[in-house]
Amino acid sequence: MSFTRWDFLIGTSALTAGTSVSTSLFLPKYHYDHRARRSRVAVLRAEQYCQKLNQILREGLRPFPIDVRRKMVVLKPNLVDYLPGSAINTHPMLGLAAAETFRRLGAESVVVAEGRDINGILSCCYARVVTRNPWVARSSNSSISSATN
Amino acid sequence: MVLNDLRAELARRQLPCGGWSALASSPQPALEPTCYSLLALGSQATDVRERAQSFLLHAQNPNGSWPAFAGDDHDGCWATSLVAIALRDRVSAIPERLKGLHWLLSSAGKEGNWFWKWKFRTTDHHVRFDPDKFGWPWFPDTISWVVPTAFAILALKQLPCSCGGFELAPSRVDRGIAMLIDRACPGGGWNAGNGVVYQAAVAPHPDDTAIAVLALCDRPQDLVVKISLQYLEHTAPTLTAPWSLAWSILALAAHHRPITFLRSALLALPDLFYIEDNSTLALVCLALDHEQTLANLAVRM
Repeated sequence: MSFTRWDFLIGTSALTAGTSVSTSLFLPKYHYDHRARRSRVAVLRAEQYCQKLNQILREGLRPFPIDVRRKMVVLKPNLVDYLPGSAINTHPMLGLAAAETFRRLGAESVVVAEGRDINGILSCCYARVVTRNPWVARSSNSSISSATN
Repeated sequence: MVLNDLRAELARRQLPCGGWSALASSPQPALEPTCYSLLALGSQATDVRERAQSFLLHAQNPNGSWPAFAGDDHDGCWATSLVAIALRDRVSAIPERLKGLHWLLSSAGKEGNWFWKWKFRTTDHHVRFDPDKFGWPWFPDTISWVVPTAFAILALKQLPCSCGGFELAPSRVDRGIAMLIDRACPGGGWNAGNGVVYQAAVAPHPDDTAIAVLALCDRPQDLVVKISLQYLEHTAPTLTAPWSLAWSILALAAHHRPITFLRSALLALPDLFYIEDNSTLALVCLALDHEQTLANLAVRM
């Protein structure tokens, strides 16, 4: 029985292909972790809504390679109905802290975006503390529940 | 008396182009507040209404849809439903309105696509829903949400028949209703999108719930509608936001629930005239004239 170089080449290729396909079947089954090496989310602890929020945010942003210089930063708070006992609205102090932090990082402007000024919080509180524009805050409702979201 | 004064304030806020802005202090006209304002003005202020209707007709995209802001969103958006409702009584706008409703029929939540159905059935289980039950998105190529689906149902229900290219309308409305029922929160009511996310039940929002039950006004016997109305009846008296309170009044009135107390609560809110959000101001007018509003929405009373 003759064994040509062509047969050798085909046999080797088949063996390589078979090994590469079947090896994974014999290896232990791992639960692959699809998480990115570096998370894009930071969960920061704040005891209360106060001036310290600026510092907490600044430190929380430090590990992230964010370059906001000469850019517009859009903040999207959660502003929905005030429902007693539920914490679903973003506290304006957090908006102020975020705005100041991004300004210190060189942002040209900071804009608060929300679909609707549902509770008057946007015009009453955010307009004053974040954009500092002369918007007259005459909205009736200043009920704010707090949440660090 | 208050209603007339609020309507006068709303008319005063109309921009020279005929539209209304989202916030009173903004010069940029937006479609949503324009539609609510047009509906809220009723049969009064003919000049104001004429200019508003012209603004809406000029803002229509070539494909029949309407953008959120004039000149934006050339592919269209959810506001198409609202415009179709707002132009309901203008005979000369029938062709534009029908073109908009045709576009609405071609618009669907992305989960209606086979690939996304497969994705949600096999790999993506973060949210719990049946992708066969899809409605309408806020913007094309995105997933269905509660509010745009509810408005699309209300707009399509105004069609007098399912002829002339609208043969699919009844089935799309039925599928949209099935989607709303599928995405309800486990304890009743609706959040903005899904009722269960990351295996946790999410809390309902009063405004989303009210808009959804308005769209489901001919399903009063459905269990989801019943428990959602119970949620709304329980929550509405605690509301202090005029936007949600106004929607709750309209939804509860459509389902023949008592609204006298809620109406008084709305009128008792301080500084109604100074509401910055034009859509909210218009909604307050619509709630105070709920019978006419429900007739305009073609909601059975």
